[in-house]
Amino acid sequence: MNQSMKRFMQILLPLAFLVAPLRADNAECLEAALDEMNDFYRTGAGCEDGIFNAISASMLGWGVGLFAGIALLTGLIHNAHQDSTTSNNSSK
Amino acid sequence: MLCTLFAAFCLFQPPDGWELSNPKTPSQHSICGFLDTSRSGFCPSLHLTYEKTSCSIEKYLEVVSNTAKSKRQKWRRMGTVKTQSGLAHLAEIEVCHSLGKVCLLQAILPADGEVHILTAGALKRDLAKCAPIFHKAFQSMRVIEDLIPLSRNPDELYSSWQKREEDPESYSKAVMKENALGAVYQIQLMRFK
Repeated sequence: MNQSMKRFMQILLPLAFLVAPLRADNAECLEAALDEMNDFYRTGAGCEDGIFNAISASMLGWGVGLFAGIALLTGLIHNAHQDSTTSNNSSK
Repeated sequence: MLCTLFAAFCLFQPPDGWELSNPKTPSQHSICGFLDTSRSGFCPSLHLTYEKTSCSIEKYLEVVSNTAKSKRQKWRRMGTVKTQSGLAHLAEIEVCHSLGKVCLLQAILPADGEVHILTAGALKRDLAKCAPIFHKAFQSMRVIEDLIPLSRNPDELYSSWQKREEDPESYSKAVMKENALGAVYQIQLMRFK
């Protein structure tokens, strides 16, 4: 049993020494390929961000304007309602 | 000085009276943006972004065009525009929006492994009014390798930049003094605080 185990290890160890650097090389190649792929898919992100910012910031300005308009309208309606209530009370 | 850390800086002159936009979700490519808040509805805007790229400008434009088409945006090349740092490639993107058709013009300026993109946006019906303003902003684009030599007091600015980590307030004050070169210059200085 010990002899066969020893023989197995004698074969396995040199093989492991040979394969390990290959695996490391493959991992490096894979990482490089992944980096290249990421670079490719990220290309154009600056242009996309420019478009996104242009639309979102302009809409933010529009939202602020809309909010101010609603606030003004609410104030006017409130005032008009108060005026009509006062005039009704005074006529009584 | 700063060029030892970063490849290039893009500057441009925003139109007078336009306000600095404060994006809620700033991206890593975004530098700054300006809005014309005097107009109601969809505000015309200018946004500066940049990107590092290893591909040629023609390949870059092809990728950008394909990405836009995949998003059903109308993308077309409009030729080139002369900037202070050479020719920038001009592209037009049309996007359908609830307020109407939005027209975006992008001046794409390549420089040493980077592209600097100035995006101008307005409603299509307002584009005729905004086009001269956008064109002027595109023409004012320039890429520089170092920010500090442009300053009126480069030595003072450089010494405060060196001490920016120990004394960030004095660096901010030094940057605030640099208002002669415009807001974009100040923003670029502040980005590398």
